[in-house]
Amino acid sequence: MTSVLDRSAEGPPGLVGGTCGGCGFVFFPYQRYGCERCGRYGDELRVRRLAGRGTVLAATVVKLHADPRRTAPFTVLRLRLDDGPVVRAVAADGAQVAVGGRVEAVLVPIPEGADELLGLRFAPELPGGGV
Amino acid sequence: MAGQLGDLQPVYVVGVGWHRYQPLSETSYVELGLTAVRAALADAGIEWAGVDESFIGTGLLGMAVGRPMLRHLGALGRPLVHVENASASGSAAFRLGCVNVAAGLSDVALVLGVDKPAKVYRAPTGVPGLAEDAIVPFTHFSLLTEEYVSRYGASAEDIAMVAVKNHGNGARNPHAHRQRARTLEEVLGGKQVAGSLTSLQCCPVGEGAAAVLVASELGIRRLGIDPAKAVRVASSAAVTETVASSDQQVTADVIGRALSDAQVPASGVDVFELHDAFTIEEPQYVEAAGICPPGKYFPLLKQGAFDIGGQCAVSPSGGLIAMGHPIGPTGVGQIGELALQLRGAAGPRQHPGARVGLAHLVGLGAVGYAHVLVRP
Repeated sequence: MTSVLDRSAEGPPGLVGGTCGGCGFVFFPYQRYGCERCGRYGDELRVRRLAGRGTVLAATVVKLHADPRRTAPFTVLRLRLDDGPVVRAVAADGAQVAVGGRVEAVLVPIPEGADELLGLRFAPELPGGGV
Repeated sequence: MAGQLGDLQPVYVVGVGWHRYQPLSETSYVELGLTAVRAALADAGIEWAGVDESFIGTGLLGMAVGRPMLRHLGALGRPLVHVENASASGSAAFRLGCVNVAAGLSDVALVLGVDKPAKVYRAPTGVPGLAEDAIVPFTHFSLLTEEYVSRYGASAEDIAMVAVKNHGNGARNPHAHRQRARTLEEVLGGKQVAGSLTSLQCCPVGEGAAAVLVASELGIRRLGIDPAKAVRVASSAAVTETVASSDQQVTADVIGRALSDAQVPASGVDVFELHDAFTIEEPQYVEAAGICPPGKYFPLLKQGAFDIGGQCAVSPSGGLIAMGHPIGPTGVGQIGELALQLRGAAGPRQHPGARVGLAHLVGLGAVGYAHVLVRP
């Protein structure tokens, strides 16, 4: 699977989204199958780095989750990225998030057997962030 | 411009039947389906030989399950097709059955929804996600609950009252998966799922079957069907979500079209069966349908406006929350409930004076369906 993360710049990790060369639609995640707004496809869909910052539209605490790879409770967010797309993501453990609040992407260590992986989460924006 | 069902010849629901919705059991899907079909044939007072073709709504049973079931009704030989459209599989099958009868390809069609719970396989799209493993249907609707609450204000108790109403209706429905009235304390005290959602505010996905027979006027005359059984299908509408819309917008679009095609105002709907897989969907869809203004559902709920006997009986069957959501049968069972209500044959859950019924489902995708039924 293609990575959806872009860590090429300083600051919060970005997301690998796209822009339609035909209609200007900005989307996440990147794909070349076709623009969901106008139908152009292939090379007309260009990679665009989306800033890992946005505003919370909704947040809810999941108390029951069947998949053992993710243990409840955890908080799921619906947020509008500053670059436009609306995405759903998981909040960092212990993060205090509220509707209308500003959040940014963070990478947090996640135990995976003997290894440790980095997982994408969203947490309240640090002061001075987004400048 | 796209045409409408009403442009074709009139089509009627003439027979309805169920196998009760229930938790997964040893009963085969064949037994579930045949029970519903035989009940619908008996209701219409016709023989299987009178059915010209069959539409089978099923989401979970796998490939080609129809003939191993329908062969037990006697010689088949007539067309059958399987229809999958997620939660709206039964609604989609009903629409196709109505269209073929209205077009004159058949005089009588069987629409059958049948399913048993099973793990769902969906082929990968190749498009990566961000947190898709963290999002299951109740997570999606819990997020929508939070959005509704932050926009209009509603307490956890208010939202749980939707389930209290629908469990109360289900307690009066012999076909319902859950047939037990629940108090507010019981609903709120159930297992915590996400946000303020508890298990009794989420639909049970079990097994069952629902069947309806649809017929043209020619079919009704030719087979000697009692005209008092016939309920007119006044309109059929279907839409899909766009990049800019939502379940609620899909609902507003599809119900708007169905009401407009049937030339019925939202205020004229007496009975409304909707996709209440989770409590928050009922306020959202009642408002999207225009049955009450945005943000005004809960005050009206508390006044009893959506009870059986109120301004508009919403989910008198018990809805998905109590009647249950076995997937394929769900949309067909809604039509069966409306037909009983409009005939005045719904027994202890009869909404007095029901003349216009509206059925609505949203399926994953999202696809939206709405049908208006009218007592002739």
